[in-house]
Amino acid sequence: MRHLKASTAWCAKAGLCAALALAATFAAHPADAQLLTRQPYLQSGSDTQMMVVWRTFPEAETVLRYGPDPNALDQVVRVPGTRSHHEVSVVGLAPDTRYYYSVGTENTGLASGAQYYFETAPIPGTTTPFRFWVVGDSGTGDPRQAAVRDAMLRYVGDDRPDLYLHMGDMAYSRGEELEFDLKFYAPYQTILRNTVCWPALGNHEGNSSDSGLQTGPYYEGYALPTRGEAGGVPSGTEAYYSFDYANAHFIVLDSHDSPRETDGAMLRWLAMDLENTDAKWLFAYWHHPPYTKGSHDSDAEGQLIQMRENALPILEAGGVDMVFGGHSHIYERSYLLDGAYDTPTVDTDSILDNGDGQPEGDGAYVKTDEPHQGAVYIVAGHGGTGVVQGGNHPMMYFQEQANGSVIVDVNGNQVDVVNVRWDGTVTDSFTLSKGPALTLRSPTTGSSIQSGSDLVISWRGTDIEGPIRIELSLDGGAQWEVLAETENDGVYEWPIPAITETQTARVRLTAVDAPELTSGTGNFTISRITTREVIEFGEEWSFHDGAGDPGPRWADLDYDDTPWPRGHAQLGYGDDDERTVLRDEDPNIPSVYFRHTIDIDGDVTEASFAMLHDDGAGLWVNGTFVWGKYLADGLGHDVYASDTSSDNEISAAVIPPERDNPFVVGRNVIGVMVKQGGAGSSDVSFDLSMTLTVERNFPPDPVVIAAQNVVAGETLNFTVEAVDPDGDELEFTATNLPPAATWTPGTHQFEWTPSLADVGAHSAGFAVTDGRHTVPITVAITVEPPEETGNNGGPNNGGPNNGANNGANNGANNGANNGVNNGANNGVNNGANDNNGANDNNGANSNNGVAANNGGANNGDGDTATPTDSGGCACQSSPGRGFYAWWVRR
Amino acid sequence: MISLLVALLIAHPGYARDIEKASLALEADPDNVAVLVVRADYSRRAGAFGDARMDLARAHCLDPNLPEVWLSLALTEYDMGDLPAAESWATAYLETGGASVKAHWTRARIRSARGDVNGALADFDAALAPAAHIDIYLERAAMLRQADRLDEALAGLQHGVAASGSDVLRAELAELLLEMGRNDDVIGLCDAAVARTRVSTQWLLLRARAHEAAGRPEAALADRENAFARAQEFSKLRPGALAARNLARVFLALGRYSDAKRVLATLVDADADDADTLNLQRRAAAGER
Repeated sequence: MRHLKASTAWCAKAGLCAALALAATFAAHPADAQLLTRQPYLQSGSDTQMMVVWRTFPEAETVLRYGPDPNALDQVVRVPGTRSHHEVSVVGLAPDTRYYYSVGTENTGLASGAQYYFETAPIPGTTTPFRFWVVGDSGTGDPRQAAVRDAMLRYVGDDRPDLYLHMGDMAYSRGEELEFDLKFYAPYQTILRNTVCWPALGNHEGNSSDSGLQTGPYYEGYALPTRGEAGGVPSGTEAYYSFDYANAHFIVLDSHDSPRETDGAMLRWLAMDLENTDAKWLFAYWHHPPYTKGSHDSDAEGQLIQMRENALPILEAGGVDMVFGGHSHIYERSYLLDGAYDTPTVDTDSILDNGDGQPEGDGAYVKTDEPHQGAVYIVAGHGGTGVVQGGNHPMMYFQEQANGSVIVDVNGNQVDVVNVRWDGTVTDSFTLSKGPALTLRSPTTGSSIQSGSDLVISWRGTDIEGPIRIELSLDGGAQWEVLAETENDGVYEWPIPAITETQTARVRLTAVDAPELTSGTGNFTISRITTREVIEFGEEWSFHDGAGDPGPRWADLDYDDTPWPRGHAQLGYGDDDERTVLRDEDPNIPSVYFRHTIDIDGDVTEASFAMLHDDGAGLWVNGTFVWGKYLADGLGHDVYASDTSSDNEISAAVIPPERDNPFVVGRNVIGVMVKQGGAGSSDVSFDLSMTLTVERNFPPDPVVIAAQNVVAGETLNFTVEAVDPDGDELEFTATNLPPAATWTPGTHQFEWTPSLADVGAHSAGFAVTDGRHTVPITVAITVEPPEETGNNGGPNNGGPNNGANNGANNGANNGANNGVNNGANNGVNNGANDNNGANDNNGANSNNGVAANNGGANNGDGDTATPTDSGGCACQSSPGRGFYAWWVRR
Repeated sequence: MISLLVALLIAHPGYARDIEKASLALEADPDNVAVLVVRADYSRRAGAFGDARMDLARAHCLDPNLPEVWLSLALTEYDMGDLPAAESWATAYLETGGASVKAHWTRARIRSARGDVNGALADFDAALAPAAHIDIYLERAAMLRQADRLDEALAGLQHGVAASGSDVLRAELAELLLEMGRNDDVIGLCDAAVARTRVSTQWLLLRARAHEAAGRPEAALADRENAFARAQEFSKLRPGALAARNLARVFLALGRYSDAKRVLATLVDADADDADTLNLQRRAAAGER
């Protein structure tokens, strides 16, 4: 703003109603209170400065507080005096830094909080990835504009655009002050308070603003660089200007009101500006596009022709990469072009690359170090007004007659562009490349990934040799863990552990052989609770559009819809906008039915949807009716809607929480009935998107039980345990027990004393459940024969007394014990067989006749009975076993 | 008074299509003066001066007291070369109190074309009074330079630079100062510009000329060599006609005419027809620095 005049003109022109409304608002406030009549917005940002602008009524002091912490805004800027239009420029800032701010007076804060912040630009020339949003012809203030804005916000999530470029026509129809307030500053206020808007003058703003005089609501509202404050050559005017951001240079021209002659000031400045930038990427934009056949014809209209004939040769000589425009109410995107200046523009020799520009398609558009490598031209006049397609321009690869906006991602040597339609669908995309590049595609900043699922890490590596290193950080990037070094095939899946606490994470990719090529995310979350769109507009539905009644259970989970045909939304007939055309009979079939299956891996805690319908509609979840509109006359098959909808009406609602949640874990069916407005109604339409918040419930995690070994005749027991990540109560059952084994459900304890007949391999099966998930547990059990006692041969060899009796059996006991104890006595006790003199009793010990067992050569060797499997002795886990205890005592 | 229809038409000025739209509107309302003025304006921009004049004549006949018609007539007569008539209509407009930048600027051009420098100067200054309009400053300065009234031209450009900060005006000012032999002033201007611009070839060459004119050939050579380094770097970063012309200018300044010709020869056909390219080629051929 360079020439502020009292902004009262609008009051006279705005109409009585608006004036009365404002008067009522003001009357409701005390006389000395200030009102924010225009929420704070950002202007002229650079790596070291930012301007904050706001408006109040009545006039007020100008105080801006700012700082790195929303709770400690320790820097203050005051502008002496009072005013209604406040502009504060903050300088000396650090690059690429977030600052929080508040605006108000010395004693009153008018706007403050964590949501008011700005971020300075990166140092010019750095390769910091960034994103910008391109909108044109949005200034209607109606639902189409809001839908375009909201589709952008959904698409970007937490990775908000760093810049907001507007192609003009932002406040229909004359760009007056009130129109600006209602149709630009208000609809975008939550964006403008954090993101600098860089506008181009449109012809509608030109009705009330003058570029030569720099007057009017456009110039009074914006504060644009005139002396190169944001980079670039000083233009001396806000009508055209340039600015830097990271490794890009942006040039904004005035195609409406400034002279467009080659020797005029604007194009002379353009040449100077181009000669003085060394940025990697050059973007230019203005209102009247050089190529279009939308609601305007670039072969028949003066401003468009002049810009093409006069400005493009300068820009293309300077190596411009992309040119954006508005004015024509359509989305159009060109091939890679160079030198198409003639009128009419039909020379297809100017098309350098006639492919789609998509890396997964014909390949990205590539620019080398040679001159005249081309530029892509985009018409983004579809930001909120009615869209029109007048024809097909031969320079255009793609055009779409639908509202939307453009999002551009700049990452080092690569620029990715998408057109996001009003319903969130990406209908066009392309990439412009200037060399090797590595772009992480998923996960994205701000996304929410469900724990326990697989994290799909995907990327595009262009002209990169060698592997890609994938790293994960769980502390905001302070420390990194290498997940993998994998070949550059574009995808890697990492199984996320079943964590129950929400964690913040980041992913970073690096080309191992070219470490300067790196790409990463900001923070995203890993959580058991995620909100995601489970049904998108345009998905496939099975449908029944016949005359017959499908029956009362058509929406049930177990209804067999395999005979139903399938088709992608939008489904319907009569509007020529359907992707799947349904049956159109006369008289109309009153009801059409749709079914779609989704899988849910947790508990649904919130559910919402947006439905495009014409006319009446009802929504079922697993056979439970949850929402309806225009169905007052009933749900019967032969009943028409109770009222007609607007054309392609969109209804959005939250599915109210029912006493019994209609959603289940696993397979769910969404059913929709659409009813005709009457027998003669001409059209039917249906499409739906659904968003669910799902709380993942994890299965129990059993404690591992190693394979068990038990000697026949001895008792094996163990407890089956498990941990549930969610803390759910667990129930344990035995599913397969060896014969004679016992199971105690209360203590989930297994016990078994196998006999000799059980020697061999066995298994015991169990299950643990948390009520949602059942996990089987299998334990392998090997029954071993008792320790070998063949020399004694006594019936008690290996019997229960052997271990305990061994020591005491020496000598004195040998006699009495021989029968029972011979097996164990052989080895160890033989040394003490000096006592065997008492073994006269051994007469009864016929076994003792086996010399090898008694004090003979066998004694003291071999049969020392030292456990050969000392460390891994199977008996370790069975402390009750005598053998183990004996081994320990020895 | 402009009807909604006219407002819509004005919102989308252009050539054939817009003339067609206006014609359709006139079929429905043949005596709509505002639409006649709008169609005349489109015709004038399309070069159909005769059609424009006819529409304006009819408009004037229908409403002899509408100043907008007079201003349009002034512009049309100017484009058709009837300067006295053009000035008369412009004066009539201004004398009714329709003082506007556009009206003063229009009459300034008319008077300048008629050789009335003082009259044009008054109008240029009146047009500049409300705001610093870069194009008006340029035209004012060009007129005064041609009339050899360099001091007045200088004052205007200095005012323009101070008021706007425009580098286009600053470059024009530097050229004029050089022409006036005020070499140290040129050097001062260029010092500031070189310090703040990244590539700076143009400013370095200007400063070199000032050094040379001031009898400092070593300083001039240093600036030219510095310009060469920057121009080379720029041409690697962004090869194209702009960089080639930049480099050609530097070669010419260094007296390396063959190199200048070589660089200019690399320009493709579309760039080869560019007026700047042709001028540089002529200078290279003539050995003109």
